[in-house]
Amino acid sequence: MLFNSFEFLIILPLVFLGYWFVFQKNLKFQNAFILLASYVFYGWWDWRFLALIVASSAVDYWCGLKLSTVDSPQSTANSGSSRINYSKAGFQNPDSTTVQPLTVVSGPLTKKKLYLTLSLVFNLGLLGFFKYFNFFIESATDFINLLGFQAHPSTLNLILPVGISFYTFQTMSYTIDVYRGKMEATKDPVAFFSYVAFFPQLVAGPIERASHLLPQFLKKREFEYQQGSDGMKLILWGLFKKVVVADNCALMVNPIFENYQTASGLELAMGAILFSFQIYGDFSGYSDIAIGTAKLFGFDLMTNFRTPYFSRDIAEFWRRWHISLSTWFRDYVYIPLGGSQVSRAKAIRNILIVFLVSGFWHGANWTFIAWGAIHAALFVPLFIFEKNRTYLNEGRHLIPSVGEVFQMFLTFSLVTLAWVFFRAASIGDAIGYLNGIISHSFSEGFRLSLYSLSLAAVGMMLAFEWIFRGKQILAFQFPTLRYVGYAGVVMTILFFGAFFNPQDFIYFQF
Amino acid sequence: MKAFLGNSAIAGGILFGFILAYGTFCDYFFQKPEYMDFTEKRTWNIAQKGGNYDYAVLGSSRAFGAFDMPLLDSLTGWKGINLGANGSGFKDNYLVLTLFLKTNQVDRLLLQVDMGVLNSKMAFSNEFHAFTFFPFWEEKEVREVLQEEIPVMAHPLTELAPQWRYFYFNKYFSPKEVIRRCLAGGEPSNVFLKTRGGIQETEKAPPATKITPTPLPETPEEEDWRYLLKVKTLAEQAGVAVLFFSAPRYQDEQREVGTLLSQFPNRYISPEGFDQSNLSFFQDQGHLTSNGRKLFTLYMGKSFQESI
Repeated sequence: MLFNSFEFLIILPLVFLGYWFVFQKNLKFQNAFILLASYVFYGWWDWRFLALIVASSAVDYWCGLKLSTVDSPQSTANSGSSRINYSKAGFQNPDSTTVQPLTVVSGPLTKKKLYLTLSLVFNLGLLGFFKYFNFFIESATDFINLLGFQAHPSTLNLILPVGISFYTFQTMSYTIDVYRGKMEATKDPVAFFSYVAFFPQLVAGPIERASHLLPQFLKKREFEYQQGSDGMKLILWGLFKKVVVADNCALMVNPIFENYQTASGLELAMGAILFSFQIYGDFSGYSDIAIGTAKLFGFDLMTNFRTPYFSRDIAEFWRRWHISLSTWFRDYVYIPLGGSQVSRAKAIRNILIVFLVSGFWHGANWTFIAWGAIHAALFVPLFIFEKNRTYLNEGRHLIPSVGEVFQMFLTFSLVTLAWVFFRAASIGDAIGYLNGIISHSFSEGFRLSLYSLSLAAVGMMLAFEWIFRGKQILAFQFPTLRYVGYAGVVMTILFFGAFFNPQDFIYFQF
Repeated sequence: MKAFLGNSAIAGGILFGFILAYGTFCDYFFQKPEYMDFTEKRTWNIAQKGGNYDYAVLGSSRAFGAFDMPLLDSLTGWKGINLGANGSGFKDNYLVLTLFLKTNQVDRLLLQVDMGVLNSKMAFSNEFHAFTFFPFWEEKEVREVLQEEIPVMAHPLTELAPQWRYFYFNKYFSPKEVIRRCLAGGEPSNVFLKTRGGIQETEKAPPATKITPTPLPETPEEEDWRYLLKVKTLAEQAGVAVLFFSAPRYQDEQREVGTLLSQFPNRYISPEGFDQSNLSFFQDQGHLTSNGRKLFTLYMGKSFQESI
């Protein structure tokens, strides 16, 4: 079920009313109701794949319980002796107060390791089978053929279950955290299953940590006006970003990428720039709606985007873009590999691994790996020269300096260049596209007026996000301005939303 | 909670009220001929009322540009109207004919059939101009096609508040568009009246200097075929005699169309007798020049009379 669909428009108020008025008195019933709503939400797309979520939840719930019953010397040794410095690598630590010291796990295979391995194998196996099976087969075939042998293995006609990359990562975070002694295993299956399937963020994140979201399922929730109001603002803003910015940009971007061989250089450049805003509007719009919806039910989800296109270098960009994924990789891949607390060469290796795996997480295509590699190549020099933590706070001033504008422009340009690989069907297409920007005729067939709506939408989004950066979006100070502002955004959605061109959320495919 | 629900209800009520009011206004406004956009040919077709015609031409831009209508009238001694329009496939044509026949009388229909219009998704960048028919939602046939084509139009919420549909194609029904039409409206500009719905002389295009023929598919798309049958049935049920024809294509005999249509008792007028290898008759592979149009009209006038 899409957030920008009639079905959601009907179901959301019904679930809201049932949640607060029918089931509020009993926490278990309330969680069970959320679970039911989440399964309906997911099953609307394809009910058969509910079995995967249930299985993933069941395996991790069971592994968690087993982990909690096994005594391990490692859990008691989990004190300060092997602390990893989170901040030194330059990744963001969004919730430093709740992060426990971690130990790099090593030593003989214990029972705990067995249960952890079971959880990881199951979830990664699920992901590997549904998402990467054909990719590995095809890549192996290409490689064998490259060596001069003939191979014709058959691939499987697999449907990628929506949200599989998100909920498997979410459940894995739970077992890993229990294994590390960072949190206790829950004995409440309904709360756990609800945590895994929580419908606002089930299919495209934010990827919540059990340590952050699960406790919210275990305590009684009270409705707060401010939280509900903030939720509505986020939903409104998310809808604007999705149907006005992203879907209008998609109208221009799709034909340009499909016909890049014949487009002029200026059209190609415009296509790349608009795709940067399309993917931002699409994904951050989804995150805003998810976070806003969760607020309506008394839950706080983690921030997933903090105006990333105002970043002044790539390191800052990665502290602001898809924060839930980048911090996941930081905590569960980068730190266990040693983070930055190893030799410089190994630290660089760790960074490369994280970026490449992050790229591969997005999809079974070399283009995503190339995208990750480009970001790694842009990040590593900052790390080497210890410039990766230059911009930890966003500026508060309304007018940026010329230098800052230049830095933002440069960072955006580099990010846009990498997005071409992300969007293109193949690496060859991406190179052809970028080459076309320089080698094709400069402006033949280019008409700026065609892009006016997309550019105006992007301009409005950037202006609002600049004004409200670091604050709650649409939090106007003066009541009159507030209502004019809300009405303005609603009217913009009604009259400029690309309703006739509804696009699936891009991150659904991941 | 009470305050939240109260404020949400007020905001939702205002929003819903606005959508209903704007949609109702559009229903009223966009059906009035003086505010219709007659530069959009399909709209002009729909706006014709109370006419009595011996024949009507129906098809895409190739039908629209294939006839010199006053010349064809003089050749046949009949009064005709050209309902062809740029980019019109069978879905558009079905609805145009549906609305046209509600207020006009026609004896014969010259229906363009070729493998282009029978493969509309391939041939046209926009194979169905749904927004043209949005103001005619109350007509059952229009509603059925729109609901089939745009699933969200069949949603129970749309049934409850169909006025919202104008926001679906907000580009065509925006306040800016309303203001533009208000300023331009009042006196309906009947640009196609002189040419009886045919192409205007101002749309003259020079002959092509070179055309590389590209073949069309040899089989029709299922959906287009279904709508062809619907157009035929609609016309015949209204007592209109249906004749098929194909507009000329440069160096393309289009024999497969004749084979395909041979299953019907209706007469098919093939363009084979017209010189389709003369480059000077074509502005591109499927569209005639002014001279080509005159010659094809002479050819069709003869065939047309023979076929009745």
